[in-house]
Amino acid sequence: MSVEDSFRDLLPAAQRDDRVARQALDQLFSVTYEELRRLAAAVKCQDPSSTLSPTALVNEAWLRLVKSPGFVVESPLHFKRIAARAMRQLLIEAARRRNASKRGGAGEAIFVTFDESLDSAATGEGDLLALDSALSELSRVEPRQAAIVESRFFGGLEIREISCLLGISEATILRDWRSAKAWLGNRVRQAG
Amino acid sequence: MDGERWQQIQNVFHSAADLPRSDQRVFVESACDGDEELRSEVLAMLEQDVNGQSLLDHGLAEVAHKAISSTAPLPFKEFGRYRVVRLLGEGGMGVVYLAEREDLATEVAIKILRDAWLSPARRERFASEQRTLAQLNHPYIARLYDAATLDDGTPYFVMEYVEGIPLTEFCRAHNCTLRQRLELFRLVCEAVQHAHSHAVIHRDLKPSNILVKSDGSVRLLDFGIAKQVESLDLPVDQTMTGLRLMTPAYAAPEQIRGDQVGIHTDVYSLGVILYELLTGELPFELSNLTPSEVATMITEREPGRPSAKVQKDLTADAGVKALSISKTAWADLDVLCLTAMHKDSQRRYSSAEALIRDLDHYLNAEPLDAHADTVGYWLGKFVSRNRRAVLGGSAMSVALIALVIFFTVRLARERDYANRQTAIATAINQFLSDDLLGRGNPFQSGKAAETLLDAINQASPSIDRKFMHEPQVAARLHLTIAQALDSRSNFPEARHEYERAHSLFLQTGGALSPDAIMVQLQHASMEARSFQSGGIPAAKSLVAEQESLLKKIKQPRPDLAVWLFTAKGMIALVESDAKSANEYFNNASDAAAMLPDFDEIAKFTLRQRLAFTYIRLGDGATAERLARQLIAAYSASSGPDSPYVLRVRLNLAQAFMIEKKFAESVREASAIYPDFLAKFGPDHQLTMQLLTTRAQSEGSIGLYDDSVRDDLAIYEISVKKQGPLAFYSIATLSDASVGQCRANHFLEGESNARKAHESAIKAFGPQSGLAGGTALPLASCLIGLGRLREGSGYLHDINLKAVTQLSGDPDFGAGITLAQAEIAARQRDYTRAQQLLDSVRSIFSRPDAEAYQKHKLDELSDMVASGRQSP
Repeated sequence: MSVEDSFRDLLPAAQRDDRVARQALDQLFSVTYEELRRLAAAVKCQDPSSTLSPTALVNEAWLRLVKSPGFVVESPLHFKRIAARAMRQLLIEAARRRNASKRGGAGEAIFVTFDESLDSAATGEGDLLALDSALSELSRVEPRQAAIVESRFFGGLEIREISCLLGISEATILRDWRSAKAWLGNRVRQAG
Repeated sequence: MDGERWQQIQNVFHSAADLPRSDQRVFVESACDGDEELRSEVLAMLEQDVNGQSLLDHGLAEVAHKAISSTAPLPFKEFGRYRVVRLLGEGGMGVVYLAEREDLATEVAIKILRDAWLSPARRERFASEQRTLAQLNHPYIARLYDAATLDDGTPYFVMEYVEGIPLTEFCRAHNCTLRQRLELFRLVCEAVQHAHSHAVIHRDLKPSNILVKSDGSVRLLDFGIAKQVESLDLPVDQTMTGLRLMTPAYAAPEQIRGDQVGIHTDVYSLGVILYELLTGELPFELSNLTPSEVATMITEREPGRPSAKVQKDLTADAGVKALSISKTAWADLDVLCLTAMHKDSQRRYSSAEALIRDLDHYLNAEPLDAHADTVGYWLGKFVSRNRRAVLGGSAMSVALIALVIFFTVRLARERDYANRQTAIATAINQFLSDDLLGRGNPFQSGKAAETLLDAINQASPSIDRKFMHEPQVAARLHLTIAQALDSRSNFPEARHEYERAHSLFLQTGGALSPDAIMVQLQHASMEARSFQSGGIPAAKSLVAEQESLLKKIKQPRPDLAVWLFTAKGMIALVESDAKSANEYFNNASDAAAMLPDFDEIAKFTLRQRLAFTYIRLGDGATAERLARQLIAAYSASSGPDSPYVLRVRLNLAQAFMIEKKFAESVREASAIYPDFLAKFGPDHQLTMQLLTTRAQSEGSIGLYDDSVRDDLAIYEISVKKQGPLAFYSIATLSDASVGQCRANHFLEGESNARKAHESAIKAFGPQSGLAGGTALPLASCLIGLGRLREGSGYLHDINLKAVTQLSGDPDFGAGITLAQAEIAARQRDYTRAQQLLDSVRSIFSRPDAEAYQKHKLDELSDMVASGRQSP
């Protein structure tokens, strides 16, 4: 699936094949990636003063991309929704690559883990891939719920924001989140 | 799983979830009614709900950490012929290694792109750094040797390994003298200039990217976020590459704001580096600030003068103190540094080359060029803005052009005031001509050597000292300076000087000193004109005060009446009471005429103002008559070809244009053009103004070939004087293209229009007013050539708000609509064309609308009408 395809449901129709929009999306990936590295590095350093969170991260990406002429986003919230998708795509792609390299895939020559003690369970790319596929399944059955999970987990959107974005009550979101999380958690556990 | 099943699962789950843990199992058993799969699914979910430890419970940071950070590139030991020695550093995008080429025993740096798979944007950025380096071939820029990709597609490139230390550290470590520092800095500027001449903006200049080798040569590194000025089709990249990637301390305000960057961005960073070299410190203390505080600091706060920083800071490092820069040297260095770092990118050095020129001036003890602030620049900018407005034919342009006339005359007076002072004392004359006006007056040489404001800032404090025992003289000097500042609209500074002059006159002449009253009346005029809040009340109170003083004097000095009328006239003018203003100026002018001693130029100015009031009254004819009278009077007194007469004749040509007597305007302009060439030279501001007036008048009556010829002539001179990317150059070229396309020379027109448009984008950014202003002519030419889609694209990209702001023309949008209507009509979308035409019809049917556009509207209306009739 191409990058654009994975955003098909989030972009305005006019933008789906727009070259500028594609570049903007591309740029979003690049920026998001750098933000993710920062987030990851903060975890690594165990920096207690670090205020980094998915929310801060997406806000930052928004600030950096807001003037991009390529994005015709309806609102900052809509952007956050797109950024959440970008986060997901990036993490999944990273996990896939790591997975492939462990199994002797193409990347092996270059990418190996620094810390050899990190096994697959600890690095959790299996979990991430399982989550992704479960989320895709959920999305086929109940797109709204999948959107809630994607926004909340990958984008750090608040319940209030998701409520605005999807036009459903906060109570419904909490309820949906609870069941989805339980179901997804179970799927990930089964896969692992 | 289907939707129904999922509903079922959720229903049971939610019903059970809030039950006590112990009751859940029983409930689920019964609710599932033998559906084993459902039962186990829900029970597993309930378990997750309570005790879940899946990654959804851990949060994204944890996940990101696991998925990303432990993936690190560990390269082959061999990159082609190079063997890796050690890691040099990691950046946002890449990793740099020190490597050796074994056969040649040379050390190189190898940069590889980490996680190249991530996005084409990253690969493109990396490739662009490589291309950038490849085209830069300069001794002070780290060289690219080789580039390739690894088997998995990861790109890398090999470049010169520079073993050196950052510029600022080098200077500190070696206790460099001022001259050494400046010479090193000059080398850096040369490297930057080289990059600029290849259309590359570095965008991240800072000492750590500028290494000095042990042999004392410098190397510019890290073009990682450099930008090709020409790759304009990647708008996303240029604004966004990201603050995170650069260092805020050296970032220009436009970078912080995310606005368009350009060569001026690098000039700013160079300014900061110079600042640091001179003072040992950064201009802004940014540590301990939040990002938004940093942004505010850089975009809004003015940096202190480097000299002040060094004087204030007792802890300044010894190396910097040891520079012991003299006061006079500081005066120039402050200007150099602060001009490079000006918040307004338009007022910085226009290029690294200009900065180098001034550095050389300094090093050779010559006066600086720093001209961003000079009268000539200001006037040039004013005129070029104004001419756009005139093109639009809006009512506002009348006021603007009158202001230009007015301003031109003020400048003349400034010069003459200096001459007049010879009567007082040779000292003053010398002071004015050498210390002050000689440097700031563009009339004298055509090129202002230094900014007037700087000259004044230097001169003013020394007046009281130099003329301590002659307060009368000091007072006159302060008054002169006040007038000069006043004429440049530096109102706060002028106010201060007026006040200084006033108190000195009071000191020497007492409470009823006529000079003191005169100063206050002139001051009042300024307050009225300042258009600042409180200006009018201040002016009124000053006038009232002087009037009451005048009543106490039996026989007031006669010239005070002139000043009183002038002040009152000015107040009336600003309050839009053109009628009273006209009366006051008439009175002032008459009163002045009665005074044989009253300064001729001042009288002249009054009459000019009077003409101004007629224009404000909409009485172009009277303005014209006045101009004629002035011409007659001055021809008689100072000869028909005196510069003053010529200037008024230029004004006459302008008056004709305002009156829409275009043919006469052209005739007048053509008549005096040879004299302008002879007296002022082809590249004098006035000559250019004259040609501009003529070109506009010619264009207005369809003499396109002539207007194009004039526009191109102005363009050529402007390019010579200010470069192809200067505002005036671009605007003129664009005007030329308008004429060419209107004369149906579409190919030539398109080529010029495109050049102008691209230059505008290059110099001011795609969202700038000028980019928009030049896009319309380009689109019109393209429409003429039948390239409708392309034309439509350019129209679409215009930032109307910016154009309107720049040109002051409220109807620019209507021009766009007209062009869109033409596209629609030619595409036979008559309904849309009709709608568009209807939406602007009222604008173009006004009597002051431009003839060409009026005609166009009619032509398109006919086209639509006949198109709609035929099936």
